[in-house]
Amino acid sequence: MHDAAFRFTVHPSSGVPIYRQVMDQVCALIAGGRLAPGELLPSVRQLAAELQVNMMTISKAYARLEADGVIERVRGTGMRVRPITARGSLADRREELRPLVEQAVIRARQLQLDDEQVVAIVRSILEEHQP
Amino acid sequence: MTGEAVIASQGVCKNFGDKKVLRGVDLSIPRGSVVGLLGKNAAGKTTFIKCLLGLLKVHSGTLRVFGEDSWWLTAESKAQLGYVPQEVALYPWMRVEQILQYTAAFYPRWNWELAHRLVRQWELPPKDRVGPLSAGQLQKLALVLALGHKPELLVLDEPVASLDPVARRDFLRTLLEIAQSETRTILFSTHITSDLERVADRVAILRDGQIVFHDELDVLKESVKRLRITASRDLPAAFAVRGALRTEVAGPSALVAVSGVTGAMIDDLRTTWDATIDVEPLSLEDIFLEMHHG
Amino acid sequence: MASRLHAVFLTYTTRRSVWLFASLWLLMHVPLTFGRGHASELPAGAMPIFLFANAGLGLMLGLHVKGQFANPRARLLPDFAFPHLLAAGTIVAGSVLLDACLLTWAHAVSGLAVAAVALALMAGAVWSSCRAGPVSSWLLAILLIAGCAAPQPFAGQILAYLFGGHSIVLLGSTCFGLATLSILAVRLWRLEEAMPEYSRGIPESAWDFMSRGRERDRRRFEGQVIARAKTAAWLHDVRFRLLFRWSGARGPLGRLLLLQLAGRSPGASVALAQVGLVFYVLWLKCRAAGASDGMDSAFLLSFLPVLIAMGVLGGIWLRRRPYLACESLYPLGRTDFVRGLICNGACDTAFAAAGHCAGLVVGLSLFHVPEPWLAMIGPYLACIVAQYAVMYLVTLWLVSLRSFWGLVFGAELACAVSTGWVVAAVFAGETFWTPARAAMAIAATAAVVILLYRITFRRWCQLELG
Repeated sequence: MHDAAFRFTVHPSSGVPIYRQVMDQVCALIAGGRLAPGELLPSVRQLAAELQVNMMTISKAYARLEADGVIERVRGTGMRVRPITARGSLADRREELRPLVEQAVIRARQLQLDDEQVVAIVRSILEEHQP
Repeated sequence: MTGEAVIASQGVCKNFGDKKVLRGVDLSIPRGSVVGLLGKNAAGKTTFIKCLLGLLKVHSGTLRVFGEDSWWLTAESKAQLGYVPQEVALYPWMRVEQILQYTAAFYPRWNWELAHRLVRQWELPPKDRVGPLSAGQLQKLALVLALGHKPELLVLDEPVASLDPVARRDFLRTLLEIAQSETRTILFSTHITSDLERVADRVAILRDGQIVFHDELDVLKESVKRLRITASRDLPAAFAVRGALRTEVAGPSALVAVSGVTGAMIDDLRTTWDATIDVEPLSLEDIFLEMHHG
Repeated sequence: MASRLHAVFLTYTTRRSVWLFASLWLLMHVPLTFGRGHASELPAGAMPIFLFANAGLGLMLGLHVKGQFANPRARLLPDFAFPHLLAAGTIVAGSVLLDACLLTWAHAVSGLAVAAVALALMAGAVWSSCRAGPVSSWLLAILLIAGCAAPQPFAGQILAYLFGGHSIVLLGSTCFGLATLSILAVRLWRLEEAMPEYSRGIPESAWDFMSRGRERDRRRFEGQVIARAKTAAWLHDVRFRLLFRWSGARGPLGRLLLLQLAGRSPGASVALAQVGLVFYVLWLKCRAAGASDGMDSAFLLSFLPVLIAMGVLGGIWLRRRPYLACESLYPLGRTDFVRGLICNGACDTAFAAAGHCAGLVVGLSLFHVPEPWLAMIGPYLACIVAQYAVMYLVTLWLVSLRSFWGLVFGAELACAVSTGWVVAAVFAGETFWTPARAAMAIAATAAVVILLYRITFRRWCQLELG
């Protein structure tokens, strides 16, 4: 559980509020698979001490994440990553994925990769991340 | 973080002879918040803080601390107050340990364990006299003296001005530890915005003797942004956006720092001028600069 | 060079205290020039005036020059030393010349002798204030005592001798004066070699007690003083340990003692000094004029210890002003705090008054005092105590003005007035003071003291300490 704290960095002087940076990082870690569902996040006090920011900021970030349904509070222990449940219809979920893939495809065109090479890359990644 | 206001200032004015330093300061600081008071030099930060503590008399307006008038603070309120001044004036003939003992004798509650721990942690020589101490050590000593009696309200005037970066980081860490207590309120004035961004949850900006902004730091950062507008045709010289702090127009492009940015405003601009708009977030220092421009 | 010299003179003319002192200096020369003494040709009191005028000017000049040279500017600006030293030298020469001219024109004294003595005096004063340490207080004290308390006939004779134009006086004084000034000038010129730490020394602003924002300089100055004053530091440690061992500093008495410690109140030492001073004054009087007709002027001169005590204490309270801001934040209500301060000062004044009375009693019991005066001793002591109380409250009120010269002039004025009352009361004689009148006088005095207390208290309660 201590390692989790080391995965966060914040830049207090950036234009983005610190709580938002923490929120984005939590989401990014979940999306990237580094924070598994059911894993406990570091406590507010611990994270605040590690990042050297106000505790209020961290608790605000956690509160917002809880409101968004990304994490949940476990009484007596702390905050836990919610298991990802599929929400919404198939069409909605496809719409969510489309822009991300579009970005990757645009980049692939810039790198002058043809369709088969792109599909090969996608297939190898799908094999790596078996559910 | 609810509760009555620890500091309630309404229309506070203060003159020094002909010079008007504070021109109607309205500020209300709730209990348990960490507030950073930001302002240019000679904006009146130190004056306001001294008025708060009963060191200077308020010309007009009311200023209440713990519900009492700031000039006539009672002994109980003063026992809850800690102050670290900008220019620390401690008796130079006393030793460090003596001055701790001396100050402790005045207060009904004194946390010796904390005091000793800080003295050790900050490597203050207990046997040395205060006179020859360096400015940084003096500031740390002043902080120990202000913290020893566990004050409910801690007021710091440019506390890190003379500290090197290591000492500054140490100081901030201690401040964060103190800020953990829900009921303790901290007010500190500074112009080092990076420290404020870490520690403070509310910001009050003092400009020309008045408070121009007082709210949560996050709200400030989300509301003040810089818009980079690239229109399809030349923009008129009188191009203005509502709530703009600074506008620079050069042909078809413009750079505007805006306070109170909303999605509707951006869409409106996009359609009116047929432009692409980049929204840039600003750090606190940038916000401060934009607010003081012109 | 001319423009540089002009610029240097500007540093003198733009300083308010220089103008004040210059006018004082001229004022002091008025009685010196136009007064006519009865026995000799020089007026009575010529010696102290002459002493003060020249030594005072020398001191002021020395401090100003030190402020100019104890600064990194002095080593970094090109051709710094010459215009500054030239300007200072011009002022010394000018005042010496003026002295000589005035006195020669008014009295039959040798101009050269006057010039030589004045030069020697000023050189000594400039040296003592310009050296690398703080102004030696014992030198000042000697000057003060010698100047003020010198008995009249002796002073007249000494002065007549000095101004008589004897070659030994001429030669000695001139050599001393010129040598001192030259050595000082050379040392200041070659600042880097002679005194490398001079520039880190006492900056100009440290003498400006009442200026805001000079805290750092003042603190540095005090730090240097502390580093040198080993005995005072040791004494302080002892007092501190005793205080915390006995009382643990609880309760109102403990708090009072704590404030005493903070103010570095010299209480006991002032008392001792008072005893010595009063004794000395009495001794001089009795020795000089013979026991019988010396006594009235002895009573007259008793204002001097009061003034000196108030001067010392006033100076200490003035120096304490910057620390009062922090002290006012200790958990005490404002009225309690001010009351504590007033009590604090009252303790010191009580010590001084006790010393004065003790000195008087001891002195008068040692010397033969004629009959009519003995009866007045009791009332006189009572008057002195009342005078101390009044002077203390007035001085405290003046300290709140934040003005050094305000304090000086105000205290002197108050002292003169109160001494006038004391002397009038004493000289009224036994027959005047019927019990009824005495009771009325006591009531009136008490009323005055209470009124002054309330005025001072109210003023300090409304005083901004920040």
